[in-house]
Amino acid sequence: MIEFKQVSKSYSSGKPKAVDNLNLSIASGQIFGFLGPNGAGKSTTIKMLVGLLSPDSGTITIDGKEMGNESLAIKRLIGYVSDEPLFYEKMTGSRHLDFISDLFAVSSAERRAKIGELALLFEMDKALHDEISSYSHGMKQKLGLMAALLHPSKLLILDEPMVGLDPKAAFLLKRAMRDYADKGNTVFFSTHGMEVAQDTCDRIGIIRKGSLLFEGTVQALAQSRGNNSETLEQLFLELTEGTVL
Amino acid sequence: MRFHVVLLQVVAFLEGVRPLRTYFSRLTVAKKTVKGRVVQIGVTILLVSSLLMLEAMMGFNYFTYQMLGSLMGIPHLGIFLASLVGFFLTFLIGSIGLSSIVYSGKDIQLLGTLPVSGKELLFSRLLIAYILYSPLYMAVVLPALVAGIFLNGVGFLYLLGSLALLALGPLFPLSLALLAANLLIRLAKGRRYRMLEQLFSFLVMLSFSLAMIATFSRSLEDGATLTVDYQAMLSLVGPIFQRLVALFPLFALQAKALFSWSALMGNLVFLLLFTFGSTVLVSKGYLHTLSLVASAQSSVKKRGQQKSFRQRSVTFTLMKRDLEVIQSQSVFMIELVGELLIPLILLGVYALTGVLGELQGLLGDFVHTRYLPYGIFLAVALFSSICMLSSTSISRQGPLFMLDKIYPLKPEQFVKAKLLLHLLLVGGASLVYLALALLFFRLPLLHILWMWTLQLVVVCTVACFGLAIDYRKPLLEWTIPQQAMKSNLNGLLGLAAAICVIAIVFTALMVPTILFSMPVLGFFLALAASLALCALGWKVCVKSSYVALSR
Repeated sequence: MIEFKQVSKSYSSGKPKAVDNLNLSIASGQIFGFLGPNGAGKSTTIKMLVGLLSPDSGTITIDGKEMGNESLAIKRLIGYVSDEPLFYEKMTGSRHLDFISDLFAVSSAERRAKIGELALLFEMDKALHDEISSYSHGMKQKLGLMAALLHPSKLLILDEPMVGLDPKAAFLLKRAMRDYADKGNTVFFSTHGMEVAQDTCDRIGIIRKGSLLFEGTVQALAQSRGNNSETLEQLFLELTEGTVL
Repeated sequence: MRFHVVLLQVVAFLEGVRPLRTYFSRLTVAKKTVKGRVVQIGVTILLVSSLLMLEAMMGFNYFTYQMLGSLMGIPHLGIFLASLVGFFLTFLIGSIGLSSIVYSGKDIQLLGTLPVSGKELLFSRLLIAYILYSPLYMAVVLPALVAGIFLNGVGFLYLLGSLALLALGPLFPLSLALLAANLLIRLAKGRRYRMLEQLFSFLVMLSFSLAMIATFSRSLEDGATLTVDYQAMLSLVGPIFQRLVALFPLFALQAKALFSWSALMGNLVFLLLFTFGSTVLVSKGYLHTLSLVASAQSSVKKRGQQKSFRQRSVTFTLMKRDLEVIQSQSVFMIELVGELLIPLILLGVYALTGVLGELQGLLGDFVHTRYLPYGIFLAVALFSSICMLSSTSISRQGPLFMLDKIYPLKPEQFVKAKLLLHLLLVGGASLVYLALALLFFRLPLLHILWMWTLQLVVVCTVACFGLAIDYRKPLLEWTIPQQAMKSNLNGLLGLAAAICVIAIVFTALMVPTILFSMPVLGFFLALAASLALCALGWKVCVKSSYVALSR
């Protein structure tokens, strides 16, 4: 579904690359967790994946389409929630969802049904008619998730989606992600929550200083470290910091 | 390109940002009391009537130039000038803020991930820019078109030409500003282009002002005044206008287009071709340019090594914080540096080019009267009051203002720090201006003692009222930094308050001086008035800060 081939990105010449020669392949029907310390290159990778940044070199392919050549077709396949929820603050929540539905050409009947369903799922039905500027961070996060799940997509890209969500919403999101992947779609999400990654992900990728250190299942990571009893948190710290806990 | 997608984005921007409502929301009062509503209606009426008066005054001026033009063989002089000024102002304002809409609007991050093509995105941004900037052009040109009706009557061609000029006239300056923004961003590879953009617009403004003042003042004689004596004006400024018309044939064509079909067609073809050409040019690699801008926003900015950690006073720390807020946006920096230093730069350039001597000549006998120091005091006080440092201070903090509410500090401490910073920057600048003016007019430097004392109290009072206005209703949710300063009505309200303060203090200063020849009494009366106003301003300001920080 997703393929990074020798992708590099640098913000300033002469400085270390934010993403360095990334090669990564993610199959359909999986939840892929992208882990790494702060400043490791997770958000840069995601921004390149959604078309906000162009890579300096290498190619990104989604569903066989190359980003850059067929970016419009790719964006139709994607539902994206950024780490910092982005909205027109003076709009109401429902107006935002209407706007997104219009851009994705979601029919009236379809959008009414889907918005109703998602609003109930995320308990946003009462807040949808309020101005977005009055929402809390968690509510904005939920609205972003609703917008991302509103149209029929094949790839859900979430940058730190659990931040600001209450426990119930986080649980519902994890279940929604699983349902989404079980339908043959792909979820690509970044997180600092090791428990979330361990519970939810089919595969994980660990990145540090722009380079991919590991890609595979949590079990494979444990086996590669020669200790099956360690938690993902311990394995992650060992791999990224060299610390044995 | 799908036009409905373009329109969807434009409508979403207008609904989601509400630029006009945000601007006028400064006029609303929090408490919906009768008193509040009366104040709100009063201020609105004042603002609308000021705008109408400005339009009427412009119309009268254009009418005068139109009459003058018909005497000197340039029958459409008023419309020519309106078109020229409209172009210049739209270009200037466009070159300051256009890139914020086309390249770095916060909502571009949202739209960039949605199924919208580069061309659809660009076209929607251009339409938004047109909607936001063309009213300025229209406001400048419309009075000339109305004045033209009084002189020439109204016919089908005039009506059509007027509509075409109003609707399509802004395209030329906006396209030029767009090309300039595109060039600057590409040259700077997306880095620090805002600073370049602000410098560019500053240079454009400075060159235009200098060119205009130099052209006009060099043709004036001592004691000459601009009156509606057409014969006097004809001999005085006739050659200048003829030179201007020859220099700017496009605007002459735009004026002529109201009376000639061929000129109208020529003008339309030029405007549409130029706009099309510049749009095509900018659309090439638009998405790549957006990526450049986004990359530059993420790059690491090193600011030298951290000096040793040292405890400082709360006031000093807050003053430094406010300076850092200013430094965080090049728009804030240029705006404040411009406000503080423009008089100094202009004085320097005038002195070097010899225009200053001619301006001195224009002042005539006033220079030799005992009222000259008072004139200098008034001029410097007015220059100092155009500063929006305090009246947009809280707005500049944006969402970070919320942090002030959680610091364990009394609101007075924030007010004190902001006032001290204002005094330091504006009071310091006014000291330099006073000294320079006294030296230039060969007046005793001792005048500085009373002038600066009074000036400092006035500056402090103005800052108090400015801060009170911004604390009352700060504009914290801005999408682009321009909204926090240039498009912030609080700045304008602060300016109005400043003018009232100066008028009261200056009246107190001059009444005993003129009526009873008692300048010392005038000084003490002015000082007492300004101190009383300052105390009132402080009280109002602290009260507003308490309300704002407890909301």
